Amino acid sequence: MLMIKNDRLSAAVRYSVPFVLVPCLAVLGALVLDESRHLLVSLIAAALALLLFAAGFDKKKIGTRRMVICAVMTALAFAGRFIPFLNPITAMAIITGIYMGSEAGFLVGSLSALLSNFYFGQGPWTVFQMLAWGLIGFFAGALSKPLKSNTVFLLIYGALCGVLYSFIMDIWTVLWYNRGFSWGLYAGAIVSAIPYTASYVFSNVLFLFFLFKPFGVKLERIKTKYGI
Amino acid sequence: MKTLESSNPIVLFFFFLYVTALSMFISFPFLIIISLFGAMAYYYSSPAPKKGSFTVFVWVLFLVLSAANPLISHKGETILLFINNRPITLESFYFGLNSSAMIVSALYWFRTLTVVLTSDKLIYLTSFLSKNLSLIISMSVRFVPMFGRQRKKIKETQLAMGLYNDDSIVDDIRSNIRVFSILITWALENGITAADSMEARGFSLGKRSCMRQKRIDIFDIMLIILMSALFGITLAGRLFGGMSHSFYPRLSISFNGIKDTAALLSFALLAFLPVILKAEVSLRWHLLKQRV
Repeated sequence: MLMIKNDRLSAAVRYSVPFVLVPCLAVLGALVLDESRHLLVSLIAAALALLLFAAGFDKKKIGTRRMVICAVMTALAFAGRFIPFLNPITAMAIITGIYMGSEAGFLVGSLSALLSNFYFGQGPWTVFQMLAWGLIGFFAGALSKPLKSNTVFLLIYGALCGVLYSFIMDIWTVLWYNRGFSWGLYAGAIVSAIPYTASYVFSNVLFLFFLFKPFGVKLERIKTKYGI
Repeated sequence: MKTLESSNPIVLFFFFLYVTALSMFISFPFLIIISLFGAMAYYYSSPAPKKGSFTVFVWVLFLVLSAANPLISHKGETILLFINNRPITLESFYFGLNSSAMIVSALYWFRTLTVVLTSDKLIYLTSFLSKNLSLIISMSVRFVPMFGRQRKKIKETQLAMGLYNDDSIVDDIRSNIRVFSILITWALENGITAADSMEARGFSLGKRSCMRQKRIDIFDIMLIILMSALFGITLAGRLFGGMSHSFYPRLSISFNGIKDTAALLSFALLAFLPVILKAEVSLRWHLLKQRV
């Protein structure tokens, strides 16, 4: 939405990442590098995707008020991660995505991952968490109409996001440990992550069920009151 | 000289980029051992909180991960024993040991990064990518303690109004929900007020600059050049076929003399750089105190 202000820099990123860098990386990863470099390729691809989002947001100019609301939602998601065993970041990213648009959802998801990891441990997984939570918020914004009108669909989306988030992070765990993908290890990782997956699904459904309506009312009120 | 933490954040960024990239993507056993010791030296000399519990967590994880690989992967030709008619091989055990040492060293590096890279340094670093991004980060970081204080105020007001009753759990939960709801409304309204006052001061007019409290001095530049050179030597050692090893079907580590020694030495210097700088600074401080 407002990430990279410099026009030339953002244009360079916008065109070079999807048309030059990612194809080069894919071809290089498939032909030149062997299996043990999949970790590197995936890490670079995720970082490039984040950069692309940062550059793409520049096109629409959205005011200061929206930006500050994003900061507020990020702070709430970040503070909510201190609740033991539960994780409200997905729910907050979805709520922001639905009510404030895809870009705000992406921003809140990815920034709360980045910031909260300063307390929960930064690592190479931060890039994947940022991308995963950002995309969850982004798609919630894209699907905002059906999600807003149908609570069952919303809860299913939340549960699905929890499962997919866990599965995507497990791919990364396997790549990191084994330097190459292995179905046996992946199955092992999924099984060992069942408590986490369950906690993600549970907290997504719980937070969406309890917070979606009140947050929606408050955000809609702010939107009509101040005309954001 | 000064320590890595008191140098410019860019130096810190390059240091962690180089050292984690090398130890994650070159899985040469000797390099991982050096990386592990360097990371541990840096971590235990840093002012990290809860060092004991982190140590326990990391080494339990190490044991679990190194035990996991031989149970799942059955490649390798030296068979140690059979469990459920599946062979447990020595090579797969070595591979698991190597991978988990790499993961543990990366955990140590990143834990130290979390301690050393404070939010002001993060804001400084992101301001090069985008000034708005660093503004949002700084606002969010500020909002968290602010919301905590406001929550306390709201709760006290509600108490004073007599709406709380600590005797019943249902009442307690309901009043906490009430406080949370008030807090959210307040936070959003407060955000709008902040945005309006930013606008009134000309926030969205013209090109924005960003206050950078930290300057780059000649020592920072020298450190960046030194670290890049060490990184380059190690990477070149790997790219030109050095430090080659394989676990399957049989463990083979080839160590060909001067090339690998140079690469490993420069990596060791890179990994121990923060501790060396710290030792130099504290030694100089000690000498200065003695002279007084």
